[in-house]
Amino acid sequence: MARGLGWTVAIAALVLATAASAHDELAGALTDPEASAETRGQAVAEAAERIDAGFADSLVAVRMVLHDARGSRSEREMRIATLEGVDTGDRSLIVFDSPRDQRGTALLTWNHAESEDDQWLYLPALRRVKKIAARNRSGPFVGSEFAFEDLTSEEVSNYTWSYVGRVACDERECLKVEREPVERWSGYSRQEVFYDVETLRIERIEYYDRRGSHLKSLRSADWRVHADRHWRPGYMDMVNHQTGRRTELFWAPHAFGNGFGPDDFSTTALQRAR
Amino acid sequence: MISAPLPCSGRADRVQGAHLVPLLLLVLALPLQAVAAASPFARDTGPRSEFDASVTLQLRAFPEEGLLGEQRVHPSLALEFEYFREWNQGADSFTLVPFFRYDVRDDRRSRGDLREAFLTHVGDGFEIHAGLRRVFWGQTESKHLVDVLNQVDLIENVDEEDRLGQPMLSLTLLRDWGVIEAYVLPGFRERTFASTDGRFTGPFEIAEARSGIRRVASGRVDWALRWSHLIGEVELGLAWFDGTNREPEFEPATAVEAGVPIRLQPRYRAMTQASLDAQYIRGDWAWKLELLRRGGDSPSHVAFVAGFERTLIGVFDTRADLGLLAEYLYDDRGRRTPLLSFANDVFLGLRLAFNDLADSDLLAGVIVDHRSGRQVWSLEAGTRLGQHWRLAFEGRAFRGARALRPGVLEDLTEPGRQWGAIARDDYLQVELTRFF
Repeated sequence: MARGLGWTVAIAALVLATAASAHDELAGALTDPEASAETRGQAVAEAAERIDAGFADSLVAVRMVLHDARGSRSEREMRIATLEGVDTGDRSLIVFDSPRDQRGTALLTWNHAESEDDQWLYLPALRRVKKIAARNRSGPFVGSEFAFEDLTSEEVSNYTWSYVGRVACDERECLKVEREPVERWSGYSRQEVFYDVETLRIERIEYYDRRGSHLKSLRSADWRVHADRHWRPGYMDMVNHQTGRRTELFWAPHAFGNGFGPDDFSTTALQRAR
Repeated sequence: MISAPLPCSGRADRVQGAHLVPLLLLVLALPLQAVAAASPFARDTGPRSEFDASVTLQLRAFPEEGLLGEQRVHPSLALEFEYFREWNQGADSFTLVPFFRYDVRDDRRSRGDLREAFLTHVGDGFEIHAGLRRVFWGQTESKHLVDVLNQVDLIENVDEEDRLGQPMLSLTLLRDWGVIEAYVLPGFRERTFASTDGRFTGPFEIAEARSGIRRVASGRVDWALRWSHLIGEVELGLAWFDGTNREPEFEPATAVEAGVPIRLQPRYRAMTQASLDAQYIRGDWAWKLELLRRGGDSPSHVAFVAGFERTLIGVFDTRADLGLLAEYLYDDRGRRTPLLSFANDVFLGLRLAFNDLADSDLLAGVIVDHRSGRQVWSLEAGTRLGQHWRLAFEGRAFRGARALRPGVLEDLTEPGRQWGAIARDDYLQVELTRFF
């Protein structure tokens, strides 16, 4: 018992130290007069990644509300399980609960930092698992304004970065960074990302399409924090400026430390996901 | 194919209880662990149950009467239930899927089937399933060539997508070098065919499938083994099946008389099947292959389906995704292939996902035998109405094969004429489903 408590204290101390050192290193990179915009931008992204590292796994329920330009509205419910990658990218499993005709449909994704992601779709009516092309990730995710690439984890190596500066965002102060997707299948030419100065959580993203026109804005709110460092929004709002469509996400609180393993994110687990 | 009368390998009897004893022993011999890798969604919750149901009203309209004067409008109603319960933090679960249909025209199509009724145990790196189950193998779109475990419920739909529950005991092992699946298949289900009141049976009267689970053709227990793995960008599956051929051969059960429908008796023989299925995804291209070699009681043969699907995102400046499909279907039996199969055909298709609020989609295609010119056109489309309803359309048209005449056996020996069996069975189907 005492030993277990000792470990807990040691891990907590390590966690806080990691968070503190991530901030220190970032401060160093941002104040270094020699650092280029690329170095600084990458430093912001890496610091944000380091702060969120160690979440191990998470489980969350999401309600998606879709609005089209004519005011029609429809809802979807899903659950998302995520496993943090140790030597690999993160893995995620999404199960759809509603609308009822889509119930039981599930999506498994293996993120890769250096190559195209692997993705499988489970079609319950046919009891069939189908591997799908990563290219599909730039298309609308289940009819929403989110592309799948907007929802997958933020791998630093998926972009080239460029630091812009400190800007005000709503009531807070943010670090504005521009990034260009490395993946040639991406639907974007560039994005403007606004990191909260204190927590390095992403408050806002502006998306620009392949032609360079302003396409979408994402705003996150109702933040919750786990273990003082894993920030997750309770609300997301994606507005498409070109079509007038909009998608809202209402997130239930994330459950962390579920003890997931790689077998939970296999294609056989995909067939059992429900 | 109308084959010569078979040397019958004994009467097919109902499975005797004795066949199940070794299976039960096998289950008991496997290591059972209480807490293991189960569904990520089942942790830290108590036992969980789910119940789903759907009711579908189906209307099939045929522009022409059938070759035996079958009716042109066929209404029916289908019910499907799914009950699922899991316990032990998801390590153990039970799935039950009963299905019922009432068909106004065809008594044979009015029936029930247990699509699934099985127990699952998930352990550390392994899974065990026992009971009636559906398992899918394969990659290609135009034909599910290597998918062999389940019998086709052909009376449901001629597209061979509906399948009967297969009794099985299976063990799945997850390893770094791939997934191994081993199946013991005690018993066999006969393929369902419409009666002379239903459609798609040509000028024949096909003997009714005996219901329930039958003894396998070899008299032993059927089994199968499969290995699958993702190697780089290639998904690969290798399988071996030793059991009863799900595809029957037909023998005339009555004397042939002009004008009188020939009565056909389906016969199921033992076979072995070695198969390979693969998919290679690169960018927006997906290359697909299914290949098999069958041997056993019938002369051995080789068949494959190979092709690609190319997906274009946001076509014509819309939200829609367009898939372009092309596949080649080959069977080395050539003109000796069984009724309604593809020996040397090209499939071309389009898939549209509208990415709208209603998940509307459309799949259209044609399979052409470029030597005889015979074509099979198909169209499937669907959209959701509100949150609980779905409306689906389906149509098929058969072109380029002259209709067979009742009681004229010679028609069938004429090259490329077999598809004439359903030359008058073009149809359009509307389905309205309510989900609960």
